[in-house]
Amino acid sequence: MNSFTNRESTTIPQQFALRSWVSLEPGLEENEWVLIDNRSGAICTCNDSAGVLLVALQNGTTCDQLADALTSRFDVSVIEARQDALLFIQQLSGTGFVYENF
Amino acid sequence: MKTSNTRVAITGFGGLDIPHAGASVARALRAGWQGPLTIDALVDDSAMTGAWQPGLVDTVTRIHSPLKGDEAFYSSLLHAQKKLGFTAFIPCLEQDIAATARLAERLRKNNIDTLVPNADKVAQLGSLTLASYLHQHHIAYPHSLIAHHLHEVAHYADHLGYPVLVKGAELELIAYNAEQVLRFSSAVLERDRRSGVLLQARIAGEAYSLSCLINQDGERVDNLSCRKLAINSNGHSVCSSIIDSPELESQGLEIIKKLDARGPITLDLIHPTGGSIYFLEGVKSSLPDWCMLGHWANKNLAVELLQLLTEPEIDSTIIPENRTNDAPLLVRSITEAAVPLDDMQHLDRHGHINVKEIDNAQSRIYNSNTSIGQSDGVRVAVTGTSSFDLVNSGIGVARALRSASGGLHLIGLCYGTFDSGAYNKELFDVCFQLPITENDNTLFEQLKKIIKMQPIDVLIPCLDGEIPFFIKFADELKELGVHTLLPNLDSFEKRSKTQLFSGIYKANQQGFVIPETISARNEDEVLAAVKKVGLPAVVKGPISFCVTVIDESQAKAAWHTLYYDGMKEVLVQPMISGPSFAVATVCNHQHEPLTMLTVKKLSLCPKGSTWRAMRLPQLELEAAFARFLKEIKWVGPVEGEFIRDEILDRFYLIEINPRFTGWIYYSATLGSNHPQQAVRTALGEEITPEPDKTDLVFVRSTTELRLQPYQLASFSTKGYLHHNRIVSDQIKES
Repeated sequence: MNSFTNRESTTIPQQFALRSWVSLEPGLEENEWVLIDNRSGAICTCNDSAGVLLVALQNGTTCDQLADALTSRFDVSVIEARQDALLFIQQLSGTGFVYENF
Repeated sequence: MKTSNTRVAITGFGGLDIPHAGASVARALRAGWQGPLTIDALVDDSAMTGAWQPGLVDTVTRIHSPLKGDEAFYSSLLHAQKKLGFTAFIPCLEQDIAATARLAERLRKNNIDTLVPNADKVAQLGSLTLASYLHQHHIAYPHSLIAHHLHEVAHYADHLGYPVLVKGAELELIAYNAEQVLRFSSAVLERDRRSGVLLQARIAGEAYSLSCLINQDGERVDNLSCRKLAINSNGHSVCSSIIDSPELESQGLEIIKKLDARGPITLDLIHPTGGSIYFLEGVKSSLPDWCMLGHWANKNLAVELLQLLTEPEIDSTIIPENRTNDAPLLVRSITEAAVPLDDMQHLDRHGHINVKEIDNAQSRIYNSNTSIGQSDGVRVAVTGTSSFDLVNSGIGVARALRSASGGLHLIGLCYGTFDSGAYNKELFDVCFQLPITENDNTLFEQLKKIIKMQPIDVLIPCLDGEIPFFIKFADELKELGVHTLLPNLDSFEKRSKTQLFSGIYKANQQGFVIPETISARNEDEVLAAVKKVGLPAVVKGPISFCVTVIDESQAKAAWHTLYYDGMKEVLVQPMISGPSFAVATVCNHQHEPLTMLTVKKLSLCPKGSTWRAMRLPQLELEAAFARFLKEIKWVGPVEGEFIRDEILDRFYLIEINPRFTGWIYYSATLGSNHPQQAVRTALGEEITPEPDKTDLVFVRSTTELRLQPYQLASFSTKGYLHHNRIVSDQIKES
């Protein structure tokens, strides 16, 4: 409860999304994906689990939603899925492919 | 959709392995123009192979090159225009653009619309004057020097360091040592001493190209950028990808503003590793040779240029992009065809030809929707699928097999990610990468894995260096169900240069002569050999490379170049002048040639590949070559290369290639189809070869293949790529 407003505090979950210059295409075979940096022409192959996360990131998503996507697709615990999702976002943020969408 | 016919004339269909942009522009127009379109190719030489590509242009007309003077160029252009009726003209060669700029007003008065910079600007932006202009306008560019004399070249090249870019008008090369610089510079200066040769330092970094279209008022109409993903030894991009980089666009357009351009302009830029600005390596006042990439990205600059020329009243300001989300890539490849000899002769004699559809009844395109199962047709694997630097013969072999009757399943075995053959779904159904290794067992293990994924019935190796490997493992391959048609190791060695020219064979083979040859293992021996055989001479490596030398200093340089490349022994021969010929054949297990195909080579690129050839039977030569092959007990495909001495009128043997030649697709168009003969012979069939026609000319030109990012990604990371629908469990990683 906020002592000034007497209202419950609300937390807006962080949303992450792929940058507009990054595109995702299906790979040669099922469950394969290719990430393309349209600014530099760099191409990156992605496995199934990365593909699940990247598809979600195309439209903007939260870390919890990413973890849900992993647990619904793979046999992995919620904690592990959340850790993996966080690490993935950190890595993509480091390359500039992902940004926080306020 | 337009209903009235648009007619445009284009130049720049030559260049062979460093193609001029005209063919790419024509291809982009053909692909993107809405409505009836007639394309007139204007050439100054019937050898311009780009104009002969089936379905590309409607007419080919000879005009005078501007090198013969502006008036000759102008009057021949006017004559062509009166005959053909084109109203738009797109020059694509530097010399044509410069002349057009000088003649622009006069051309306009004669209803020939063109869009080029003004003449003064073109002169300032020429490849040999550009550095000075850039310096004055504070545009970053690599350190460049111009040499007007050969003795300056080596000194400047040493100053700039290696590798160094060597440029003349329409010619350029990346040189890695002094000998290459001197040789290429000598050719450039021979053509045009007055302009000199430009030497430019190479900057390490990422290479890009930005093409822009500026209208007559100096307003930008549109622009497009690409990144050069792979560059060959000519400095030419082999694989490019469209990119959308605001930083590149901003800096590039700033440069274009300073250049005060009009019409199409293409910048070659380099972004130094760790740097923040782009360096300008080159400028062309024309559309790029990757126009098709723009078409695939929904930004066809060739179409936009033609619209500017033919519909100037239409508002051409930039509209928001409607770019596809696809990120198309382009890989440069080659295409081959057979052109009626009559057509070429008609062009030579009458200066004009209406190009008919090339009727190549043997080139049935394989139905890519057909499911390939293990029981459908013979499965043939072919190596040598690259056209990166040299055109490997596997591409022609695959094309010949594809055109043969029957449901062949073609498998490409590639040594590089950018082997253009791997991305050509018209040729191959599936491609695999082989490792580049000196360890035979490693290579064989990988081959076994591939065979497990994709069974092979016949394997045709197409690279000299791998033939001994396949000979060694022929029996093991047979046990795996893979048939080959190869000689034994003894026969392979007997046709090697070291044995061929060692003196063990009679010089006079009663149809051809084996030239006098002296082997040398150091600089002194090379000089002694050159003194003995006389000048000019050739200095050759035992496997590859051949350098012509006209004096002792060149002979020394040649020895050092070949030694630097790893050769401990070289062969010295007198230089023989005359037309080049080649004889291709396939020998059966009884060492008998099935058919002989002799060609006269009409156009050779600087790397020695054949880009135009004509069948010219030589019975005595063929009989002598057949006897020789029987003597060395040859089995399989082979090519003998000869030069017909222009004075003595005798054939001299240059070398024997132990595999199919690069132009072997020609045999399919003529009738005999050597690769098909080889496959059937390998499978134990007795065959009666078809007789060859004599009225066709082999023509090769460059083309662009579209590839998707997932194809490049799959091939580079997984090592295989399938084009046709393969039952998925047939290809499994072991």
